[in-house]
Amino acid sequence: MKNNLLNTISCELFYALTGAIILFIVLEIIKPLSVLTYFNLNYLVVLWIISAALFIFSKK
Amino acid sequence: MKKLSLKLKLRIAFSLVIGLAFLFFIYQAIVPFGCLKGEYRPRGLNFWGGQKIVGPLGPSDRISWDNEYLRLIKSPAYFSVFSPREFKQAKLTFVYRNLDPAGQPIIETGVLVDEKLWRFATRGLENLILEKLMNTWDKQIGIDNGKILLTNPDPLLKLKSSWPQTASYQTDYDPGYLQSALPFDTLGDYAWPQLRGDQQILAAINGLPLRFEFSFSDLNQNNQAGGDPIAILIYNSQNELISSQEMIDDGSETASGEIKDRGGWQLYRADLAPDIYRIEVRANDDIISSIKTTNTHVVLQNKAWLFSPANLLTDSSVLRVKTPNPDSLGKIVFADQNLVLEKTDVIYKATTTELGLKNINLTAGDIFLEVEGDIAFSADAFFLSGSKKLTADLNLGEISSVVAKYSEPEDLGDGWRRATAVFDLSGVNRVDNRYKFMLSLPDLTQGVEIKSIRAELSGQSLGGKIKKMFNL
Repeated sequence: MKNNLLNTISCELFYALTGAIILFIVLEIIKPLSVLTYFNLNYLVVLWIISAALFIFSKK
Repeated sequence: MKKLSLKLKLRIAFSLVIGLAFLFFIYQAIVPFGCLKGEYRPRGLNFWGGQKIVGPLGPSDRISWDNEYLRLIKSPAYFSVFSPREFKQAKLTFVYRNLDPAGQPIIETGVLVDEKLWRFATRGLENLILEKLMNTWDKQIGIDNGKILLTNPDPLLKLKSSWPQTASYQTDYDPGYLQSALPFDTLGDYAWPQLRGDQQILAAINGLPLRFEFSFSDLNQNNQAGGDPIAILIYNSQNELISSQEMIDDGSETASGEIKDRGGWQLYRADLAPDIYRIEVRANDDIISSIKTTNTHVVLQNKAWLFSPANLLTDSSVLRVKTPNPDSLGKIVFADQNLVLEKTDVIYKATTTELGLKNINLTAGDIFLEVEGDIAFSADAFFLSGSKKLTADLNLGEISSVVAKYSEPEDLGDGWRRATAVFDLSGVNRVDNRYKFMLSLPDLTQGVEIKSIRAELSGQSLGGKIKKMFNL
């Protein structure tokens, strides 16, 4: 049950962060500095890697 | 009602957060109400790690951390303001301290208006010389749209009557007055020494045609893509472009170092109204191997890069000199001073109390000069090209009056001062979606501490743009 909960959260977090990275990078390409002025995308990439690791481990 | 699953709840929550962030970025990129604000606090917390709307100040060798505040130790320092679209006006507010009436009395800021010539439109923030004069000279406030007129109770006027005896700060002579003071043209035949790089020539035209002959030589010292084209632009006193001419490079994009003749260009305009014209020669690093003119009243504005030895004259009390060439090191005579250049790429400064025109004698070429006025090759060439700027180096004995637009900065206690400068951004180009600004102390000694820089950009709203587009 606990493993299932972690699996669901990490899965959804991974999908959301993947979507967010793609969305913000596309926005940054269309309108340069519109994201980077307010937010460092590296933070999002680090979170995405952590969520990906959690996602993989929770699947095991 | 059916209960939502955890998966769906999480999906909705994450989508909401991402959607709100996306909307925020879109809103900030469009700026629908036409107003964008940002602040740079050197010690401020940057939780989200963004580049911020304002700042940072740089380059890093011009700033240092002193106790808890950022200190400007070399001038000028630069910063930029993010601008997702064009704006009409920028209002910059600085909080700083440590300005000193004896050592560093002036602080000013500027916006980059010409990236190629690295030219800034400057606005003063605080001028302690002016504040001192406001207490010692005769003062009239509120003349001609809020200007201040200060009259020297004891001037030492030993200059030609047509010379500028009025200094200005944040304002200039009335252009109508300048035109009425234009000297009559006399036809001459003048050849100038060799110059190098970008030059700004002022010519007073009052009846006779504007006539110049330029010849250029390419030093081939840079690897610029497309070679280095030479451009000559002519502006009137209202800063309107009258004509422009571009000479393309021979196509050599490699830095061979071989000096090549680039040919020349003849400028002849007989249709110009009496005015002061600015001839901007954008020659990059190339040599202007010859300049011939029939116009008498011609000066170089503020700066000159001499490629050959020359005897020059200036109305400035201060001279700043540097050279990139080791062969050009040595002595320069400026009025009653001897200035010795000992190192390359170091700025040397000399000031004089001598009145009237001062002699500059260069025994070597490839020397860059900067003055607080104009440079000419003969005494007859001088004319009233504008007012002298009220700077720390100005000889106040030569000045009968000062016209200024000035409001004293706000005192915030503990030595902190808050000063504001407003810039008109029409015609100002953005570089990589940012407006570039500088902060300068022309006579920096111990430096100033910077607490914050606040920027407010304002322009047309989205509604206004749509109305304009559809002529509503």
